[in-house]
Amino acid sequence: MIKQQLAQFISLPYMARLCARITPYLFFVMLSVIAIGLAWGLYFAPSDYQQGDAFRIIYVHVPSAFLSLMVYSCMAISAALFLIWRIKIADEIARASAPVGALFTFLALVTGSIWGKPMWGTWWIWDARLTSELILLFLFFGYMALRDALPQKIGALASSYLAVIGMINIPIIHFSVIWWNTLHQGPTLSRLSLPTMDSRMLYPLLLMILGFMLYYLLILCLQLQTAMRRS
Amino acid sequence: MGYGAYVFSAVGITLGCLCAYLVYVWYQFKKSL
Repeated sequence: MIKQQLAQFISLPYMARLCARITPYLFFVMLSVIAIGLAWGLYFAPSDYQQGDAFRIIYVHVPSAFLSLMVYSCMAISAALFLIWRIKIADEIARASAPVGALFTFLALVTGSIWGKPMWGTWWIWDARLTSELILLFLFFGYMALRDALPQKIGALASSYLAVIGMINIPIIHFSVIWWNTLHQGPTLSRLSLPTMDSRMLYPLLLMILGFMLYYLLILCLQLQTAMRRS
Repeated sequence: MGYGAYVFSAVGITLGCLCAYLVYVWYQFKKSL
């Protein structure tokens, strides 16, 4: 009974119907959260005593970087579920996650570079954090390229293996600033310790991360409905 | 020294890319109807 209900819940038609229902709400909530987060972060949050107003790049850089890791983790977990139990919807989630994950990684690299120029004096350096994030971008590109280069079934399997193996890069990115002596600063938000930011700067950052998560969810909802209609 | 140009470039590029991709996904979704 439970197995049957679970099977119905994770079926593509059921999820597509659920997505159709929540998409408009998701869109307006996402828009409001990002608008409030941006206004708060760019205007109301105080300037940093060392970096001045340049620190405000954090409100787009950190959410992009956070989401790049989160989306890759979701993609790898979905790929693993597809490989183990052949759940079709897990494969669709992995497929829909790759381009949006690549976009977040690209944005994290570009906004980081724009922040690096005034603070470090250079757009780019082969630092452990930056290099491992660039490898993540190539992993997303590799996933998409492998999937499209091979016939449908083999492409889905091969790219899923790549996503699962590439998961090894996620802890490397996260801990790179601790394991190696890098130019990039240490973690601002960590589960194991208190944030190293003042709450007036932290809350808009958390709002922006939430807004970017809602954006990812919105993209997934639209992609799942598109996949359902095409299948 | 002002950092406004850096901040607005970063925010502009981010919002621009996110909007462009959302419009693309929305277009694909509409096309599948």
